[in-house]
Amino acid sequence: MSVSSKHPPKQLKRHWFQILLALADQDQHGLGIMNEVLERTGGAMRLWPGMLYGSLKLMTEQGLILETAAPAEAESGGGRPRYYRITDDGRGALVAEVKRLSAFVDAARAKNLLDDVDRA
Amino acid sequence: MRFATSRRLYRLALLLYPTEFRRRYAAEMEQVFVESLDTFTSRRRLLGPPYVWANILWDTVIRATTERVFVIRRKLGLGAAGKPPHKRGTGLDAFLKDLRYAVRTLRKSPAFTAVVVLSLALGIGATSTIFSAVNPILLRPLPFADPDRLVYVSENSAERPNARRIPTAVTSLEWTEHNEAFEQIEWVIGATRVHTYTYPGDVGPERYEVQWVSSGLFHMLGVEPMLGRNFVAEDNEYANGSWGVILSYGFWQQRFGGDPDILGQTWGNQVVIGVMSPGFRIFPWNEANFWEPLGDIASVAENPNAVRWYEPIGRLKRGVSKEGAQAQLDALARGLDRSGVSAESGWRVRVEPLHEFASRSYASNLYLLLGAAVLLLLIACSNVASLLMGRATTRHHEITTRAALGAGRLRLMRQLLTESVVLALSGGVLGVLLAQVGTRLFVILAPRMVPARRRDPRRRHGSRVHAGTLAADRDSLRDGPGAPRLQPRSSRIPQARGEGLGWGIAPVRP
Repeated sequence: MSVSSKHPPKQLKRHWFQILLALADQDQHGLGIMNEVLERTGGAMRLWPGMLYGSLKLMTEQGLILETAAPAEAESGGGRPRYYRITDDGRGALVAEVKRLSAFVDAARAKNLLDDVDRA
Repeated sequence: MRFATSRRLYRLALLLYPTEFRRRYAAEMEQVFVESLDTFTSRRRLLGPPYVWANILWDTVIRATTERVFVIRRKLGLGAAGKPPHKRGTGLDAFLKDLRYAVRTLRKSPAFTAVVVLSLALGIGATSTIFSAVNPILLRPLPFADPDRLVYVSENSAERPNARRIPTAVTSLEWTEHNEAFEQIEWVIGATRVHTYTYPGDVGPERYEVQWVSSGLFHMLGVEPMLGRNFVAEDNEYANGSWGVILSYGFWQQRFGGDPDILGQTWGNQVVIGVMSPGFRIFPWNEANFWEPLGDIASVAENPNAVRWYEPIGRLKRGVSKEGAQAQLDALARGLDRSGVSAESGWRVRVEPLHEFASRSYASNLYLLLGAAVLLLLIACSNVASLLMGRATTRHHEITTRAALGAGRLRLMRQLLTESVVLALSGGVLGVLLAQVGTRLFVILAPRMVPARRRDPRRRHGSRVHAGTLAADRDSLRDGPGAPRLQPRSSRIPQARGEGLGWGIAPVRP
């Protein structure tokens, strides 16, 4: 039984956004997600185990991601880990969030704040 | 395995999560934890583990509480969407809000939070550590059958009350023949200290720690070997060029690799007739490698060189008090003095419960340590109380504003109580972890008091201490948040090593 509403929140939590982004192009297990998020954020966002698996559980319940079979070669110390795959709802929520954020970037660009970046 | 201790501690911390969540994610969460620990240890070296643990504790307390609230809500059928509007803002929702608000508030004052949590953790950790040492030594009954009736008998100087000695074999044999207070008296050589003895081994001399016991001692204590049989009277004879010996579990594992076919095997001039259960020892302070029968005491009692080796342990008859036994032995001793059998007058028989004998050398030290630790906890609690009161003064404006905006008195009290609970719980969890570390340090720093470095592989009481401490933490939170009184109910530490009585005599094989 789902604890929360089936509808994803309008604005994704920061770490949910990062988890969905990590799953956007490939299925991953929890450790892989943590490492990718850590790398992409330059070490600024470390997903500690409680936060990571608590979020994965909630996101699964809300239909943003789903658990999927682990590849045969995926064997780790604690047995075959759970893999997660982004769902259509999850992809929709991710794209919506990216659009929301890119609107801010566009606004910044309109104010010539990103000239240096654009020239490079 | 890397980070074995940290893994064990983290598994304990995972117990805070609901069972369903734990079953589903615990193994993977442990991997993530180890990965984090590995990263930070290589990056920050000594500062890495404390940093990771601080974050992990925070993460665990917050997430475990959230998950538990989810479980309760699910049981009550309260989804976020299914909740009636008029109920919002009360009950669990309000508690969650309080919790989030408390966490946010405390994070805004990291120095205050750190000082309070560390104060509580230090007080709780120190008390738990010392209690872990005190409990098995002073409070828990000896692991023998009917231990209240077991006594240790020695001789006490009438002139110098602290001077004791072992009675002669002749005297203690007299007791067995003429007294009516004891059901049984048995003997041990090396009760006060285990003797190291060199034996001819298969590949040269080997040194072992040995205790010699009379063949009925283990029967009297109500102890049976895990494998094989107990000593019987025939074992007192040196038969076929070998002595029957009973091995300790640890020695069986170390010397013989836990060989299941050990019974009947001979090494040197010993033949193995039994293996004791893990952790068995007659006295807490001495860990013998094996026990040998001490021979026929009657035949060696007249040996002038052997007069004061045999330390008598007796089992009182039912209904006989220690004082009654004492009076009977006193009368007997006076008779012996008159007949001139006893070597010296001026010495009085002393009957003391075996439990007291087993703990008297270090009882005062341990009580002193426990007192100091409790004082430390009290100081920590008073410090925390002062800090909380000081903070309440500085938050006067905030609380007045909230009251002006409509928060009721009960609501405000609940909010402040939640903050105290979060602080107390964090201090309690950190205190438990410190106690785990402290227990190990105690073993390292005071090996003479706690000879537990050779741990018994089958004895794992850590989780019980942890559970007991957390239960006590829960009780303390219920009775008064902010001042947790943690007392573990048991521990895997420590068996104590007593000082010798000062008159140990190097034994000669009888």
